[in-house]
Amino acid sequence: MSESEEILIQKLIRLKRHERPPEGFVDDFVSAFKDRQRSEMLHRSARGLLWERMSSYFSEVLNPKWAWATATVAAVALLGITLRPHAATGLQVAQNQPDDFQVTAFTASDPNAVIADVENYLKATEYEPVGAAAPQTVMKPRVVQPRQGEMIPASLGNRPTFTVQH
Amino acid sequence: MSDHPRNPDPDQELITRSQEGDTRAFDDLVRKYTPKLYGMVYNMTSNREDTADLLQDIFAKAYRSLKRFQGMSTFYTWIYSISVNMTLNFLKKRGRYTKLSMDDVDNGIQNDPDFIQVTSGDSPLREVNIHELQKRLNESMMKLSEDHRTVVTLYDIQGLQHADISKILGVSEGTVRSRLFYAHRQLQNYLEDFRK
Repeated sequence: MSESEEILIQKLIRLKRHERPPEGFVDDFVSAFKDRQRSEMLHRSARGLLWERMSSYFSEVLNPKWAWATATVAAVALLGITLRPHAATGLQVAQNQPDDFQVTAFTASDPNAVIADVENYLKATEYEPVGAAAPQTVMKPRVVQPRQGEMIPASLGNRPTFTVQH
Repeated sequence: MSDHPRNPDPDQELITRSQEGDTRAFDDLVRKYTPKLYGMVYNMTSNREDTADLLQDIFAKAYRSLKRFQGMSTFYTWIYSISVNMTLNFLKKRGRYTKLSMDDVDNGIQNDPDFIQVTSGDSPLREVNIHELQKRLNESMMKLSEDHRTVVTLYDIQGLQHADISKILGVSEGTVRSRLFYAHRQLQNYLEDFRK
């Protein structure tokens, strides 16, 4: 398309500027707009007003910067609530340790002194004989003898069974 | 129209008063911008009844949103952006159904140098009826895609600059120029017989 042709097209299209709304349109339009505004305000429900006010409030408060900050705070709070039970359990474990429980580093500066300490400890400790007071258990065989006229299962006949005697 | 931050918005006083709840101030803004926005919506829809209804919705939305207007752009750009967006949404809902309902052509067209030029001498338009020309132009406009029709309306008919159109549409100036070029080429095809 040549430049002159494009200019001709533009001139043709520009003629649409001469299309005009009817006389008095603007005045009638503004009047109709006022009526509509008044009518909308009168008929708007309480819920609609509340919604509009809340929308307006949040749109002003929650600009993108604040929205991100709020989301970050909410995420951190949620994470804290989620992890809280685990943290309490760990604390309880720590609190269940004896008061004098201490972990000290072992330093073998003098190995002979350590050996002597161990030997002294072993000597100072009395050992009770294991099982000395325990009741003796004797296993004696017993043969089930049938009484006269009594029938016993063949599987038990003349076979020793074991009973526990204390 | 300029969005340069150092240039105060000529509508600032009316905007501030409107934001403070002065409905008369907003009425003044409506009165001021109705002719311009009417032209934009009308040339996009080619239906004057739809234009009047849509314009009511546009100003109602602008009034509801006015408290959020922070002066990052001029009121002119802001209200034009609202108008273009709402008009494009309306056209999508309306679909392909188009009933032309045209405004009257004012008598000034007879003295328009462009009209005199395109209808003078051996121009194929010299004997064309004004109303026939109007109908053909409107039909050709409606054949354009909505994006192309928007830039033709804003640039050729409303006389806005490329930079202002790019701000209103949220596209680059290059895109505006490109759309204009393709739109003109399509219009040339639609109006072929007028040129021969």
